[in-house]
Amino acid sequence: MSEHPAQFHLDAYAAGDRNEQVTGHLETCEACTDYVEKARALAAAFSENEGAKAAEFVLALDDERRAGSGDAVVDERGRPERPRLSRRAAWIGGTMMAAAAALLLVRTSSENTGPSSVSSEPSVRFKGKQQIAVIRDRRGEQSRITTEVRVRPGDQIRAEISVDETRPIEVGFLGKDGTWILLLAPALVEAGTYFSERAARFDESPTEGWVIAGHPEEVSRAKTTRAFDEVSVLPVIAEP
Amino acid sequence: MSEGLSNREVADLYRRYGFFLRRRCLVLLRNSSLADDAFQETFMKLMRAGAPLRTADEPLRWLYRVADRTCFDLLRKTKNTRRSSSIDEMPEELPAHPGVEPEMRRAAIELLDALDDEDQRIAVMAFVDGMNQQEIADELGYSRMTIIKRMARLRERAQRVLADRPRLVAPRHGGPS
Repeated sequence: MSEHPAQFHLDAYAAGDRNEQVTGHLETCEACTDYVEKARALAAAFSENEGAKAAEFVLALDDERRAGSGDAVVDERGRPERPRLSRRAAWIGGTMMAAAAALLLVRTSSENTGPSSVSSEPSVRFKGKQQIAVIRDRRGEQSRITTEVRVRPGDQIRAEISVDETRPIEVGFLGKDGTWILLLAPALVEAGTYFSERAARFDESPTEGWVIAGHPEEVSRAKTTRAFDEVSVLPVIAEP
Repeated sequence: MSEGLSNREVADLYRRYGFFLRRRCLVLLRNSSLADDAFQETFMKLMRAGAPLRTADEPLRWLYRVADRTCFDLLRKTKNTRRSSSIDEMPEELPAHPGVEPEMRRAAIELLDALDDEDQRIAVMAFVDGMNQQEIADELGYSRMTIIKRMARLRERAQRVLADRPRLVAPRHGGPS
């Protein structure tokens, strides 16, 4: 129909896909440049606002898929039959919450690099729930703690989280003074055990508080209300 | 039977292309609620059997075809019950593709209900995507001459839609450079 790249080429370019032909065309076409700039701005806004909810969107779809019928083949013409979707995975574009943390996906892996020599306490796994432990590093000696975490100046703690099913998780340290130290950014994790990518180090006067793990929304609520009913918690106590 | 994409892959696609897919569904269906259904269903298909996307040269083009098919199915199923808005009322709409006449695009979209499966695809490729005749012929596996004839028929029908609806007048957005 035209000399312009097809719409999907322009849209893909706006989404960040590289295409030298489109790049060359944009150098000489004001109309397409204008189109791409507008599309890029809208897509960026979507990614910033709605992208944070990708994990929940996918989980809701996954629930539907599990409840639905068997697999079908999708070819490039997109021809499979569909089970009727419920509204559980309803479009979540209504509320643009810029403050929502970006949900990162964490690949299930058996290659998690935890401490190599850790003295551990017995633990219990609860079906369908997350289990939390803290790895405390004290002058190079590491201990795995699943109850009360006692810390001294210079101690460093890292979280270990185990889940039995795919779920969004956030882990952090909440100080009694309101300090929040993120240990594991909001992430969609599949069943398995993970170690937080970050650690919290205690200074000369350790702040007491809690290591909290749970659904990002529940964690957020717990941080505000200090009600820990819906999250997993390990108290952190300063040793004299 | 085909393999589906992982949750992580689907979430990545949602972030990267979600805006465009949602808009695509909205444009073709002109109904926000149905667009939500089509949007979800498109991702559901990826989750169930979308593995071929991993090797697609043009992922968004591939996704658009899946979304298109999903929308066409919904158009058929809701033909007698659906309430569609004008394209002009779609809040998330971008200007039409610079190479497509907005009036023809609008008419072609309104005409989708009355078209058979293949003409729906040709109409979208020509009047929404702005593909040329050869590109459409290549994608559908027809000769260029066949596409020219079918596009001519579609254009006639779209012009009848335009004639019946004089309100469908809008400024053009850019022309060929």
